[in-house]
Amino acid sequence: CNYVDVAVSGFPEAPGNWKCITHDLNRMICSWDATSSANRGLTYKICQFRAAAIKTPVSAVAGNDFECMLFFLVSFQALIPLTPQILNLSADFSTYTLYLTWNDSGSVFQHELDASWQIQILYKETMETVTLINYDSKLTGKDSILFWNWTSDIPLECTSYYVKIRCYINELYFTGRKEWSEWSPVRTPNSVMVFPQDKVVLVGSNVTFCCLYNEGKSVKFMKYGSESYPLLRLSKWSSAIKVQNVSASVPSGTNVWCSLVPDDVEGTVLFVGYAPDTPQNLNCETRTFITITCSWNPGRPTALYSKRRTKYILFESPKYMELPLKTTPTSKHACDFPVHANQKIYNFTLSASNPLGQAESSLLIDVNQRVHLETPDKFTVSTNSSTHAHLSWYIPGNFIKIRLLCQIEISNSNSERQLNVSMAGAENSNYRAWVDALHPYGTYTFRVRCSASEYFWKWSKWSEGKKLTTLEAPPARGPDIWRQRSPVGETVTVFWKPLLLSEANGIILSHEVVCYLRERMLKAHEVPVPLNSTEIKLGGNDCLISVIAKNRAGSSPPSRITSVDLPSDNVKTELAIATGNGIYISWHSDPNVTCGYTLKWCISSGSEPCNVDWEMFPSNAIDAVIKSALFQPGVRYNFSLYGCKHNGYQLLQNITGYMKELPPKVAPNFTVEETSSDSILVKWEDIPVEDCQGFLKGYILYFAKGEKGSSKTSFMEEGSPELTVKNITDLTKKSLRILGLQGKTSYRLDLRAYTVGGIGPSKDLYVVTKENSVGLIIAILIPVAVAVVLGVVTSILCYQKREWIKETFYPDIPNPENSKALQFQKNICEGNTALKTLEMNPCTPNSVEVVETRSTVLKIEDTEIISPVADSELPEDGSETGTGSHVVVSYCPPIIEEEISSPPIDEPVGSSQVIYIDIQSMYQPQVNPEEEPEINFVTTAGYKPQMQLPINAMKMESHSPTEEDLDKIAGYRPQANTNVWKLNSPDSPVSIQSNNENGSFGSPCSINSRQFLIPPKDYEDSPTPNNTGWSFTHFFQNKPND
Amino acid sequence: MASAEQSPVPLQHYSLCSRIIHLAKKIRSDVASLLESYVERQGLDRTISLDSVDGVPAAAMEQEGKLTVAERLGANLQAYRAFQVLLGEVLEEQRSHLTPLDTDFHASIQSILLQVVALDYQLGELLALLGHGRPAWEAASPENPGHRSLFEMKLRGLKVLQELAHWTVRSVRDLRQVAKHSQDFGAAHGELPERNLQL
Repeated sequence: CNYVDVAVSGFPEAPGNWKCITHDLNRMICSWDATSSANRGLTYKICQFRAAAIKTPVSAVAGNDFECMLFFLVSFQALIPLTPQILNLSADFSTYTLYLTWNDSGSVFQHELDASWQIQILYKETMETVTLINYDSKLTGKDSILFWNWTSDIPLECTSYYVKIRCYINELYFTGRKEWSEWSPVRTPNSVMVFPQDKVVLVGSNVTFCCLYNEGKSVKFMKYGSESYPLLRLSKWSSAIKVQNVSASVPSGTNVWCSLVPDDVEGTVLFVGYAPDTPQNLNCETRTFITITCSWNPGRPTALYSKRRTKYILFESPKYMELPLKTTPTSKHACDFPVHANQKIYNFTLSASNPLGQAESSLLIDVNQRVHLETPDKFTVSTNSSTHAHLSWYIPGNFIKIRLLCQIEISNSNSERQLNVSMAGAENSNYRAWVDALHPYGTYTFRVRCSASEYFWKWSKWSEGKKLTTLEAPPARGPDIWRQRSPVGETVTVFWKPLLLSEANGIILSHEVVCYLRERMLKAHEVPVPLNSTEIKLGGNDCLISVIAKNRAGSSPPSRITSVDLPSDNVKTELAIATGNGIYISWHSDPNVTCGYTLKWCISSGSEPCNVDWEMFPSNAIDAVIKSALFQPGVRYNFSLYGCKHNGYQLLQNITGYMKELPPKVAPNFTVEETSSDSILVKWEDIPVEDCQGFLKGYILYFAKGEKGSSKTSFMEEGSPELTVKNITDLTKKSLRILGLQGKTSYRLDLRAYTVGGIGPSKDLYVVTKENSVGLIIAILIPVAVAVVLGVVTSILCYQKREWIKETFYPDIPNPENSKALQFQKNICEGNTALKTLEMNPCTPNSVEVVETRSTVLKIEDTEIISPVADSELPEDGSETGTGSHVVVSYCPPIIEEEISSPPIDEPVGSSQVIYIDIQSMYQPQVNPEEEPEINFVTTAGYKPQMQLPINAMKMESHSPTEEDLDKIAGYRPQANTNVWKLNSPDSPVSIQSNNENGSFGSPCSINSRQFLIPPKDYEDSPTPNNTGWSFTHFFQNKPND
Repeated sequence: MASAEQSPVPLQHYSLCSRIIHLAKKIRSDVASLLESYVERQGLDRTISLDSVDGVPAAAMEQEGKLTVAERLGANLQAYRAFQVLLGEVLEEQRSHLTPLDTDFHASIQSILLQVVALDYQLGELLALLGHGRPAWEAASPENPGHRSLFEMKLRGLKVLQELAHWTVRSVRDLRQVAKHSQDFGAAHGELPERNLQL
């Protein structure tokens, strides 16, 4: 029993509306109406008695006084399945079909049960019932998905549809009532759809797509392909896009989708293509007379595939026999149609259709005129002869009613021919043919093709090729032969040429050479291949020579030639003409020649003996072009022309020629035999024949001035304007004298040979013409005479002026007043106002008092060389005279004063007199004697030529090596930049008075002082010729001052 | 389940796991390539919403961490069995309706289908090694694709490939856990040399 506590007050009443239901046959759910509201605090106790089965006692116990009331109520038990739920309801608008899926909830029950389902279809807004369908199923104890579909009579788009479902469980052992479940909630098909669904349209169409969606959703966008289109709002629950001029779609179609909010997508696919093209090149023919094969080209692709592809149907009227055709993805479509026994004429109509349209092609044929045989099969070739072959092949099909024409192709390496064979048709039979006129021992390739004979339509394909070699036959003719007698005539060598393959009729095994003397066989030789000559001893007799070629099948007819050589005299050698690919030879016709001419030649290759070759011509021939694969350009060949006379062969002529003439391979060797001052004698040698490469036509000599070792390029490349060319066409001439040349000049000579083929390489040499001796003598004598005359004149002048020279250059006692140098200085100071740098106005000559004279050993050679005038004409470093013993005795203080704006205070300004106490006094004003005891060793020396200054300075330098000290003791300083001079005269003193490092460089006084007071040792050691010239010039310049 | 985790042949587990992982990676790579060509041939967009497509096993699980090894492998096995059916449908739809002439494309789908079959077999082997035996092939719910629109076919094929790619990722992750467990177990019992797992 189960207890249900209910608070009931008052006296309990029997429960009303008592009922119990179960959904799963496992659990019962009971319900009743409670008694009146006054009876609170009641407790219900429910007990089930299986025995009574239909009565259930129920007791009610009062709460407070524990009064219990027992009611027996008749049970109201029912089996009511759970309300089913529709899983999915979808619609296929193209087929007006609704698809319903639901779960049978079979797992609710523990065992198998029969279930019935009632599906109600309603439509319109008023939900009128369209149909009510019963559907039975079996519950298996597991959940199963059940399907059901329903097809409407009207398009589903026309109105709204609703579906609901309920269930009934037919449990036989349940004693209670069994009732239908509740109806499931009404379900409408998924109405989010895009229309039209999977439609096929023509390229270029304008298509409108609409999107239907449920309440609560909205359209985010609609796309055609990948492109969004503007939305056209159709209604509250539908939108559309319009796509114009659609283009052909891909095989899977173009997608149109509708994106919704909240996130959902629906779509459709549009297929855009073309209507089928008219089938092109419709052709129907039979191959076997069993079926007719029709083929065609579908034409323009439709861009539609799968279910939308083009479908072809072939009709044969008037029977209108319709054949489903095999379609292939290739461009060619074909199908087979049966041949009817008594029908010749067939009228075919081919229809092509797809969802966008259809097209037709028709063809009327006579099947006998449309025979295109299959490729001949099982093709075989055989032979047992040297000229015949048997062929056999197989063609499938029934050709009893027609004749066949077969073409046999026979080809070998150099020919091809076709042979047509007509034969009666048969059914699936072998066909045979034989061919003749084949060449013995020939290798042929055979193949065959066939067609109808009476009405030719098409050849079949060629069969596969088969090769065959015919049997051998005896050689067709004897070989070409020639003979050559030995010089003494004891033997004769017989030559023969190998037969051509077409003449040999097989493999030549040997040649038989027989010598006959008046029909009597003297000797026989069997010569195996590959030998092609043999020697026969004549033994003093001439004979008739016969040569026979042999192969496995037999012998050739004999070739005959006599061994007799007729004597010939005065045989000339002629030149042949090269034609580029052969040698043109002509000869004079000889009336005594009755059996033709033979032209024989020999081609040697390397060290091997030459191969004799020949060619025969009829008696009326007078020329020939000899060609041979062995001929090479630039090679000389010798030919012998024999005439065949009734009693033997006679040598008529020798011919020499080239197939093609080339330029000489080498240059001629040439030398210069004689040279003179205006001519050269050149000699050259012949070029060897093998190097000529053609008939020599002459030599070309180029010559022009040119030094050996200069450019090696040819004259023509240099384009020398003085180039002279001499063409020597007289081949007997081997020397040439070149005249009109210049003496003692180098010439370049270049000699080349040439043929018709061109000019050969060059060889050059250089030669120097001899000198013209008379001119040389004159050129020597004139300068010598001039020199002698000049020497005499100079001697005379010196003799006349000897006193002046002595006074000037070699006085007994040097007198400064007589010094030209001082005079010169004075002249400069007085007269040369043009020298702006000097500015020596006024300039008073200083008087020099010589306190002490030195011995005359100390020689002052030339005071003139320190002259500013001379200095201006001298290069700065060219002041040396070679002795290095110069004394400067002029002194010009005003120059220094003008150069130096602030002279030292202790120096007497404007001093006009300088007293030379001794040479050391030049340095005293600058140096305190007490402070410089080292230099006192010269203070007692009296007058010292300034020649010694450098010596003293060097001595002092050894005591005080610093440059500054050197400057202080340097005495007179030139006013030039000492730094500039430093390289040339490192001992040069610097002007103490000025202390000016930037002394005037252009001052002639300064320069002269530098030059002669402290002459650089370098120049002392290396007098140059310029000094000599300088001295001579001044010698003459100073002469008027005397 | 406990018996599965105490397998006496961890080395075999490890080796088999490695092979399955490599196969899953291969499938994923191939599916990635196929997805590219699929989207191109069907004129679809990879970003299109596929929520409306049902019936395709989803790889994502909320309480994945609570699954045992056997449950993980069983879920993988069931998924790949479902994908065999789905790929077969996709292939047939492409041949019959969408890309009838694109044999190369069909061959690509066929190749993946065969690999999924192989993966199914190997997963079954692994489950058997773990002592669970191969689960019975549950008959797939008989779908009725006859009313499916071409657009739905396209979306469904896309979703099948996408979910298959996701499943391969999940399988690799699951198999690594199984392999790691096998390695730990083998190392503890001296049956598997210690080495770095590069799966």
